[in-house]
Amino acid sequence: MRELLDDNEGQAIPVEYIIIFTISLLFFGVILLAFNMVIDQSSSQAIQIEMTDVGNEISSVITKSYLTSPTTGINSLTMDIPTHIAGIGYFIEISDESDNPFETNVSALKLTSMRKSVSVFIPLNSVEQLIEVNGTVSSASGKLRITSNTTTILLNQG
Amino acid sequence: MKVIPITNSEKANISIDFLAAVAILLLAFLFAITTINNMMTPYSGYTKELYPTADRAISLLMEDEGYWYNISEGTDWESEWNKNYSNVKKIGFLKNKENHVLDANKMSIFMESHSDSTGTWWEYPPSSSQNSEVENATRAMGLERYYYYIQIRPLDMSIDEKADADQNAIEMVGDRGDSVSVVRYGRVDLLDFGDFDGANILGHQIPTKPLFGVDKEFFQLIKSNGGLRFTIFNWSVLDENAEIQFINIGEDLNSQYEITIPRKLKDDQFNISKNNVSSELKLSITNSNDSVTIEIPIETLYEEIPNWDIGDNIFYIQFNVKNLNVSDTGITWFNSSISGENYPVKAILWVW
Repeated sequence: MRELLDDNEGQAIPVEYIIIFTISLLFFGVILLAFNMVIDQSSSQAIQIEMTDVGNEISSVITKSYLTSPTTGINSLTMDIPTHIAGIGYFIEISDESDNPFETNVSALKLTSMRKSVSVFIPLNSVEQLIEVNGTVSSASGKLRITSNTTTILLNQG
Repeated sequence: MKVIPITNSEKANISIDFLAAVAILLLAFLFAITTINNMMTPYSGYTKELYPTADRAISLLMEDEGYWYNISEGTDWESEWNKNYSNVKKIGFLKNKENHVLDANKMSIFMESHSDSTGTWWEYPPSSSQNSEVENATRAMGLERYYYYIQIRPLDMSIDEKADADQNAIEMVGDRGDSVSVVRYGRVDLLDFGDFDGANILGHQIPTKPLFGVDKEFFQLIKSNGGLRFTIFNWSVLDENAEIQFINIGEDLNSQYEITIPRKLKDDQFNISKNNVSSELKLSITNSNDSVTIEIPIETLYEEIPNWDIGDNIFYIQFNVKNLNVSDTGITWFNSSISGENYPVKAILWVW
């Protein structure tokens, strides 16, 4: 049996090149995969953080809209929202009660990224118990219009 | 071990050192990648949403009346709270939209209140709350995902009370890293049963029995205050042997303004004080300026009149007295003594 460490004779040079090439390929492949993984996770993380911020701003405007609703007529508030988060558009909607993973039987404001499978649920702090909240909009226009009266709050494309 | 440089060797060997170096470098790289990712994880959405959530929650508490719904509905959720927590959909402390002050009854119904001469302050959740009550209060305040603690304090609260409130806040919130606090200011309306002028008390004459009537309009106030507390001053004293002998409570009157089935209160069922000094019956009233305060806890009302707060009931309190006078035959209604106090408060909500 050959001794692995002492025997340095008789191997073919092309085999050495092939082996080194294969190892290098594996090495750079792993680095590329790991780098992509980091970028992907960081991107998802950034989307989640940014959508949480945007969602909280929207939820706060919904609260203000409810608190300032007139007894007659419609209250209309328009707010600017980013068209893209981490380069990707997103949807804004009111989740079903069963969707909300954080609270049982309570609907929440849901933001969903269009390409990455990232969703965030922002509490409406029981406004949904007082008044019906509805609507689905996309971030494409960069504007969100929230209209409210004594019975309904509606999210519209701005 | 013999080292063979890769660039110079023409013997087609790969050094085991080279393989080891590549493996170690890969492991180090993967470790670095994983660590960087883990370092980023704490900056997730949860801590970032605490402040806006607390801001919305306290805005709704201070600027909304709240709401309850069962078969009927309304904003007087405080009257529904003790019947069925789950019927209360939203807790709000505002009295009404027109009168932009906070309603102390709404706060007292589920928050723990502490009073002294400078006013009343409230906190929630107190340590004594039942789980179901806390769960429903948390839901109705829109803070289901979070831990929280709220205080509502008078702006000019005494140093002692401020120290107590601060201490309670420290015990409840402590030095948690990821916690936020939001402050709002407002004014609170605090109703009290006030004082009765002894010269105008009505009741049964010969023998004299001052009679006080409480109708359902004030049942909620009694509940939120934890009982009935009132003061009588300026007595009509006939001679130096005047005294209050005992106190009856009941639901029905005869035509002579006497309670038909009187339930005599035992000494441990009420508190009585004269000129701010705790006393017992029989209590002598030697001076018309003597101020007598009676406090009947809510437990006593439930013991003696189990259904006092249901339906359109009225209940009565009657004194048996000696050598004290009433001004005329009739009922001294509590609505004649109601007084209001309005003072500025600061609400602080901690969320973590």
